[in-house]
Amino acid sequence: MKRNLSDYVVALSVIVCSVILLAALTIALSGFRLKKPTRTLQIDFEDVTGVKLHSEVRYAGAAAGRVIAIRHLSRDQRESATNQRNAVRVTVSLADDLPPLPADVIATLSSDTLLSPMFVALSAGTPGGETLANNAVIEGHPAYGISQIAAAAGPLVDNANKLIDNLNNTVTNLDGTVTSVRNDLGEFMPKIPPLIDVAKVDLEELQRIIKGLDDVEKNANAVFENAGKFVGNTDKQLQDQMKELRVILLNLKVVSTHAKALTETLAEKPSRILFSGKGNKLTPEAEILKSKEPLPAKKP
Amino acid sequence: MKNFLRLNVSLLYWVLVAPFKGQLFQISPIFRQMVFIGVRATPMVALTAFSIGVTLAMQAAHSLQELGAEIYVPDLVMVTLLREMGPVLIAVIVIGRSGSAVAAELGTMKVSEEIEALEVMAINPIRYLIVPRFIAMLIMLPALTVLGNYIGVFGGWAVCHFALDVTTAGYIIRALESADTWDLYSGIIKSAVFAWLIITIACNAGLHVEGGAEGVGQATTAAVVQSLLAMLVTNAILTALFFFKA
Repeated sequence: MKRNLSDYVVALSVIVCSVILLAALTIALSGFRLKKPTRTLQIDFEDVTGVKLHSEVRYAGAAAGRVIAIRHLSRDQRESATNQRNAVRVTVSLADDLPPLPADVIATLSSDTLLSPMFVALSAGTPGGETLANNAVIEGHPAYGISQIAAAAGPLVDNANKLIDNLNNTVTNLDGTVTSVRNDLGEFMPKIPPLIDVAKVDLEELQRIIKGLDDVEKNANAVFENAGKFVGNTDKQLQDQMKELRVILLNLKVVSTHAKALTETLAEKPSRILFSGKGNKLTPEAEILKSKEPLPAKKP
Repeated sequence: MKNFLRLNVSLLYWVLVAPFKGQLFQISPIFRQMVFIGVRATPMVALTAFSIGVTLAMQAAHSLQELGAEIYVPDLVMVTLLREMGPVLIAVIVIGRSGSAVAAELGTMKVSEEIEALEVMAINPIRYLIVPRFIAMLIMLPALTVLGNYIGVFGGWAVCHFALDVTTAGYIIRALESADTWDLYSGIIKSAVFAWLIITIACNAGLHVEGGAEGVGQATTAAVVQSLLAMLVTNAILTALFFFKA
């Protein structure tokens, strides 16, 4: 009997403990709370991917509550909403000690890192203005994470697909063009060898002409070289002769001046050829040579 | 197989139908079996669950730390324990400890003709021997699973608290956020089904022992092997039913 009693107590204790533990775990997992939240806020979102029941709510980065309900907006609610793209209403419970939320508070979905769980982030808002009433409905803004960037890139990808389709058409057309060019080339290619032969002959002729021109150039160079030498020699002889001519002219100038004096003297007194007289003083030879104008033959 | 099905039908009759016909089963043998099957298995179950929790957390931390995502260790420990590891490993422990013991005990009774003696005394052996074990197992294995889940989660907490930068509050919040009630109850349902399989296979093996002591040994081995196989296959089927949607 004593053993039976012991078995009863032990077994019942284990069962009771298990039931209590099971109940506690059930309550914890289901999010059941004895005390109903006193402050709530409803936020309409276009998309709440990543947010689930019991997800965290942060006000200005600090923990402020939990998500307690997520439901889809009805058709009427969507049509009457300011932003008709909003499709889901998230109800969050706020901590009792949280100060009243400003009316300009902005709700977004955010996460600490790419891998972190999503939470509802409420911005600090502007103090001093109006505050949100309990259970007020505000509009949420989408998160700007990788998924949103990927979603935004969707139209881009569509356009890229169209572009690729167009490119495909262009490539197809180009293929036709290339085919026709290839056909033309096929017709043209057989004509090329004779043309090349002719061009080869012409090229040889041209090379021969160029060689002849080269010889002509060499000869011309020799001629010009000789002509230069000739001109150089001639120029030297001319210079010498010019110097001689100049001396002759200078002498002629002196002679003509003295001849003039002689002529004048004979004209005045022809007898002086036979009878000498007092000689006239003639203009010196150096003075005659220096002057640029005719000088009187006799010094006055 | 025919004996196994016959045993199951008899059990259902004695548990569900007979009490309403005034043939109520005795309560005290049930508690005695609860102590034997469940309570005395608690230390082994606790040690196993704690080891599994610690191992899961360490393995998860090893990979998740490389991604800077060690915050997900509680998620993995909690969900894995509730859905799979808790029910399966605790069932393995119970098979090894209690299933084999039940098969050996009944086998010995069969060999020593105690069961025939009961029949001679107009006592139905299923009502007298099997029903208390069946009910005890059906109650204690889910209870042990709940206990094992807690201890396993505690093991995960130990790793997160002492080896990773996860606070106790953070661990609890993450663990509770990651799982839902269906994860918990799917594990409990699994453990109840495993309990049914383990005890009926063990009892069937024990009741049909032939060939003396050697036969008892063979029946015990067969009971353990068959229970393990049946439990693992059933687990796969239940997981597919509960969680896999192709």
